[in-house]
Amino acid sequence: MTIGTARPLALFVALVLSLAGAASHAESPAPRVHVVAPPDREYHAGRAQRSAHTDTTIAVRRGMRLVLSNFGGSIAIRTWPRSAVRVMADHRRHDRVSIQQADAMLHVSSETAMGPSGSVAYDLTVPAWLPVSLSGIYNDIDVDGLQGGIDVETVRGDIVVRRAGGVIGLRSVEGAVDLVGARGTIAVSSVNEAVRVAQAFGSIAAEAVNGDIHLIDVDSKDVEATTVNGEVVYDGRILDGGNYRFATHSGDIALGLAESANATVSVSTFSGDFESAFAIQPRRAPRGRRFTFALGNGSAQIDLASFQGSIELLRPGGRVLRERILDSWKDHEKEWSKVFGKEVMWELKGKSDPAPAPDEGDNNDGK
Amino acid sequence: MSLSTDPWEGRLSEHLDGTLSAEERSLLDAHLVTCGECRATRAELEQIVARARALPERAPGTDLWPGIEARVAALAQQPFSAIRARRPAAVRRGITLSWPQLVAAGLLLVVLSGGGAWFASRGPRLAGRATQPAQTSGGTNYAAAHQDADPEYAAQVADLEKALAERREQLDPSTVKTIEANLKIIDLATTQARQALAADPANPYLKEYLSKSMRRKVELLKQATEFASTR
Repeated sequence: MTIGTARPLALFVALVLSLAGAASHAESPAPRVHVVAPPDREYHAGRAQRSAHTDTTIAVRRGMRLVLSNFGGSIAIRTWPRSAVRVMADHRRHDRVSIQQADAMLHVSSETAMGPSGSVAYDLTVPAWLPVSLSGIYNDIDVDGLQGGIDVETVRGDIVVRRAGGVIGLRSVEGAVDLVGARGTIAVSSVNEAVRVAQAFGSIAAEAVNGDIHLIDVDSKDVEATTVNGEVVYDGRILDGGNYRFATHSGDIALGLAESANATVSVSTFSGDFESAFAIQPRRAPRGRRFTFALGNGSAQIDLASFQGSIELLRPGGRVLRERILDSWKDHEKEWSKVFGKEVMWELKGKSDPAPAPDEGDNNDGK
Repeated sequence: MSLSTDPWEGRLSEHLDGTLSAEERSLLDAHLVTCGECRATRAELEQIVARARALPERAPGTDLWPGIEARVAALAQQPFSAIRARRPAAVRRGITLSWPQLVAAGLLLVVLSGGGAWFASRGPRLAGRATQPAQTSGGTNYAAAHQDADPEYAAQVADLEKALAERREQLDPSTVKTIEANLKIIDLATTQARQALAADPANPYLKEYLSKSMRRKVELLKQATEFASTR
């Protein structure tokens, strides 16, 4: 683009934007529109890289979905009560944020006439009911308050999602995945980092290859957590009729399980140990064993399988289990306190029993 | 309470000493790519070894050898019977067996030989069973769990690996490294599960575990290829 044509084009785009802005204020169903939003201010970041900031708002209606693709950078999403999406983005001066609306989709991406766009830091505000799909390669993603479902996929970057509802799918290859305060159908995975879910209701599937899985304060009848080289810790409710499956290859499994639970527990190990904080038959089992025992009326099914790690049954919310979680978090407690909020961290610490139960003491000593 | 859950942490010394098997070493190398804590621990161990090697040789404050040498020389002067008398009674007596003990030992030998022969003859049959097609257990296709016995599965993995290799330049080298390290982790888990299943072919847990482990590899390969294609 030459300098001579830039000004008329900017005027034209501004006209389109003002029309879109009027539509958003009226909150009427958004027309089919393609906006290439110009930056509303430019600034210098560093010595040579000129950067720009985009800020635009588009009306949306129920039934629509927001789809955002960002090759690299970051994405933060918050909610507001308006039926509109505000897109703010920091990007290179030559990059443009593209917003396309077709049928029931609102596509947000960045483009440039000079090859692949650079890093873009998105900051979006959307209605809580809007379903959202986010994808990219190198993105840190932080989302709060979406109730219409969220799907996130990134290769390198951490995913943090708080207070989400609906169908929730979070996948990272090289980043950690944290989900706090969720209700719905939950599928979370990371290939090379930890997956942590706290205060969640609904069916939960958590998966990792080279990372731990921690499920805390979970209230669900359907939970599956599987990793290859990591531990699985579950400190949540075991509901009557529920189905709980936990598996790891070379890590341990620590399950919070009350003696009063109604559950049939199936334990499988190839070369791992088994230990229980309370009296069951068998309380300890030799390696290479698989066995089943029942608690209460046995209505919930719990499958525990560790190929070569230990399997421990601990008191839910008890000192040993909570310490186990906190111990693995200790190096990142400050940053994870921000992610999980004071409530979860307080719960983890506050529920610690001042005096350990005798069985837990035994268990603790045994480690 | 501090619980170390990293199974490799205790193997770092062996890694440093070079006493791990090739397979274990390969897996630990892969683990070190992704685990900062183990890398740090290994670096510390390396430093300790390096410092130990750098220490100057110090002569002992007291030389004990003259005393030992004198006692050995004095012992050599004693008659053989006196030395023999100091050895434990059982060694002095030698091993003697009564007739009932000899009969019992003979029976034990027969039982052990027979058991060994039965076990040896059982091995090939089990190996043969593992390659039989289409055994289903609990909704899991047992045959599909065995890559060697399932050309379709092997072809799928090969195709995905080829596709990933073709597109690997599209991904950041460190991402490729991470994916490869995780594929190695899955491969080792699969190998161990297959070995365990060969030893215990009726174990339903191992059958399902092996299937899941192999499916996991396909899923990761698919995921990685998709990511590489998006760039």
